[in-house]
Amino acid sequence: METEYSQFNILNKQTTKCGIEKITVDKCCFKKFISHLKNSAEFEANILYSVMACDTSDCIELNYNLFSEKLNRYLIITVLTDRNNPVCDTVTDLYKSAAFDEREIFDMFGVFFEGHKNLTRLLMPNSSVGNPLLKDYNFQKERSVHYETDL
Amino acid sequence: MEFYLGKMILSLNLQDYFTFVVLYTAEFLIILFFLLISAFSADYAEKYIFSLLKKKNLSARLNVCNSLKILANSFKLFFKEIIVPDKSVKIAFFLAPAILLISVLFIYSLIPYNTDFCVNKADSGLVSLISLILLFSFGITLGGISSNSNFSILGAMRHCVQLISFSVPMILTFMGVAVLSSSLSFPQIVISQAKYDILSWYIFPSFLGFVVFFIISSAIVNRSPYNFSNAKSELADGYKTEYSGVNLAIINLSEFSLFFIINMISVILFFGGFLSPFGVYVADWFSAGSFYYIILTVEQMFWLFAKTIFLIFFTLLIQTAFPRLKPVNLASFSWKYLIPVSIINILIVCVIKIVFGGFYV
Amino acid sequence: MKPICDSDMIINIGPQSPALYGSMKLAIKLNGEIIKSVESVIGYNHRGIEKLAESLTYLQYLPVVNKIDYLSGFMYMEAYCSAVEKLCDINVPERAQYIRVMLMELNRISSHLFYLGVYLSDLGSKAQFYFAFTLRDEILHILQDICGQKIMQNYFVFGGVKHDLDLNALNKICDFCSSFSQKVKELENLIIDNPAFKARTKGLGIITKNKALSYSLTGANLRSAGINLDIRKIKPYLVYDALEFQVPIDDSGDCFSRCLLRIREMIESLKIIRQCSRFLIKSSGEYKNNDVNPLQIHPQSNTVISHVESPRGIISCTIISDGSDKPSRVKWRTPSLYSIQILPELLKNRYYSDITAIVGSLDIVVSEADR
Repeated sequence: METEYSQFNILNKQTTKCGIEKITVDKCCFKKFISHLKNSAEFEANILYSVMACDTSDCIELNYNLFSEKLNRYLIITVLTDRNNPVCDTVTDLYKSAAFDEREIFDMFGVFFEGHKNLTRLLMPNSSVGNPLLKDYNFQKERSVHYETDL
Repeated sequence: MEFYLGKMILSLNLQDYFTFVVLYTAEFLIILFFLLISAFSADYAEKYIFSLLKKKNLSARLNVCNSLKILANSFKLFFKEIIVPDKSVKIAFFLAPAILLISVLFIYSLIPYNTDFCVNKADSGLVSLISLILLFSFGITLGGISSNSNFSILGAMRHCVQLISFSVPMILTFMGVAVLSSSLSFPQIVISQAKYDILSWYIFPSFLGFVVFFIISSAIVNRSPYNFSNAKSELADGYKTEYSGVNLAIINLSEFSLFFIINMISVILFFGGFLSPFGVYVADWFSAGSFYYIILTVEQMFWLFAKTIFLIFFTLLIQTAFPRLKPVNLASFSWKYLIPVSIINILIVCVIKIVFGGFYV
Repeated sequence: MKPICDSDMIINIGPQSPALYGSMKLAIKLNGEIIKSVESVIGYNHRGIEKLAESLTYLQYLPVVNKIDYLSGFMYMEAYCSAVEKLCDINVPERAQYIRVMLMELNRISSHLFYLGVYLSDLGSKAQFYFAFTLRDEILHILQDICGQKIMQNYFVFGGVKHDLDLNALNKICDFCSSFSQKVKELENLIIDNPAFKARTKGLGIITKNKALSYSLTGANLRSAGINLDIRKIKPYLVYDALEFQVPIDDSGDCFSRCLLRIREMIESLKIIRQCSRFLIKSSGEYKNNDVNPLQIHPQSNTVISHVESPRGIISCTIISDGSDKPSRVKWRTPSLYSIQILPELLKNRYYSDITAIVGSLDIVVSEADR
């Protein structure tokens, strides 16, 4: 498995405290890596449990929690995006469950996913400004009170 | 009863024209009183059945307060504001509850309450009944469509589908009863069931017809398991959504009274109406005279209402037990099951009439 | 007035809806009675639970966790507590683990009874609603005697539970088990032998295996499609590897099998409760790890994930710590969010009256989808 993975730009590999492997991949080819993991015969990562984003001070970290039913193993794939202009590829064509997750990350962190069919705010109202889960979100300043008159 | 009423009014010595007016006004008021009482008791019966499910104790169920609560709920609606939706067709919006109430009042006037109180002794009572029930459904559809809101239109459309599917089996069932009694008027239908006390009630020859009519009676008034047009979880209240205030009170009143009166018609057609199942009355102990007359009147009305309430409880028990049907299955249910069953019922009834012609029916 | 039958009508169900799902909006495009497209809108119940974690310490965040889902509070507490326990290397004594498992299974039964009552009453029969809810009331009274509250109990702490279970409570639980085992068989027969219910739900809302995996459904929704995935068996936590129980699976994937599977899960939970109560009556031990000082939790920089099987699916709690006494990021993966995602595909080209049957069968609780 090690030799196979060297064709993808793996930046880091570590094990978290609870025993789950966490692989950091370069942004340009992480989607190829995930689709390789999904289609490979030995590590069939057929469930994407969730897509999570975390705001560290220099970048936004995206974590993809994969699970392989065959091997009974979890795997976390980490991708780092730039904090000022966060753009990333979408995985909705591989796993349909990522649609709402990516919308929520767009809503809460401002990460734009290329190729997503319906990238709108999920939890906050459509007229709100700002991304709440970023560390420098100012409650007092960026708050809008509008009455929605959609459907 | 009409005899004594007529005597009282004649003793006032008015002109001919006025006596008729006063007589019929008095009868109208009596009918209105029956309507209010029956709507009230149908509502109370429904609340009683639901309280059985909640396992309350008996004293909490048969409270005086429970019955007054029903009156208070309908009464407070008279004082609420009438909100008319902007997009609605206003004439039809206000006309629909009126149509409902008028059709129900007409049905109440057709029914024989005892041997001589029947406001409308027409020879074609059964045919008028069919047209009045269709008029009621027309009023519901009109009310739903004229409200011009999404849920009301959906509810009205569903009620239309129900109307079309259920009117043909209903008419076929009535045909079976008409064959048995050789007449279409209600007093005649009841009297021809009096021959052998309980054995000559029409439920025995025409049992399939009763089953079909029982299904239809809960479908016409949108009772579960047929209440797709006012299903609270799918459509918010169906055709009643946009009504408020007096209009809503009139719609609820006519719905509950139609529920009561359909069961009363079922009793008249199949269970012998106001006849006692034993053939003898308590009034027989008294010799002929005014005492006998009053007790006979009361007792016959008692039998009619008691049988109706028994049927109502049966309908309500079925309402609580089954989930509702889908409206798409309705037309196929009606055409595949109800219509063949009612046609078989007519065949059986005709055979019985020919074979046992003289001495049974 | 335009003719009604030609154009598509747009109907909103919710956010205030007579059906008891929660505040969710379904914008439906109808043509007659056939649904052309559905768009689900959530976010009416968003309380910012994940953002709250960044300004509260680990102990202060504990009662907030209870309120994510009002029906399965114990599961969320277990997910958060075991994540923090993994982070700080805290051991949970065995008696506390058995108490946790027993209360979680009681919670599972009460949540399934709520689902059953609401589902059947939405389909039109009120009697089953009262039947299921009187049974659920008995469980809530037991939980009130143990924890002090009927829902949102706030009973688990880091390293164990708040106080011990005495013999009184265990006797009540044993009485409940014996009376419930007959009633749940009645419930099962009520559904299997009910032709109106079967006509309404059989063959409807079929989820195939590939679709279920692709939309990442979990719980009974996934097991009714034929995939055997239960965290309690695959990656056991607490004492589930020492307990004997089965996981019911079905193959058809329609609404009827989802409802039936949840009733069978109730029967299996009853077995677990019996085994736990037998252990608790015999054993004596610590109910809490006394070495833990919850006010002094300063974990190192780490990432932990904990998974719990809730009545609706798999909950996972991810905590990223950065050395201070407040977490840097807490992420909740809740199962209802993914059940809502599959709705547009399930409802397409169906009749309008199928909505309550399909949406109700997936067991969606909107307050956990919105967090």
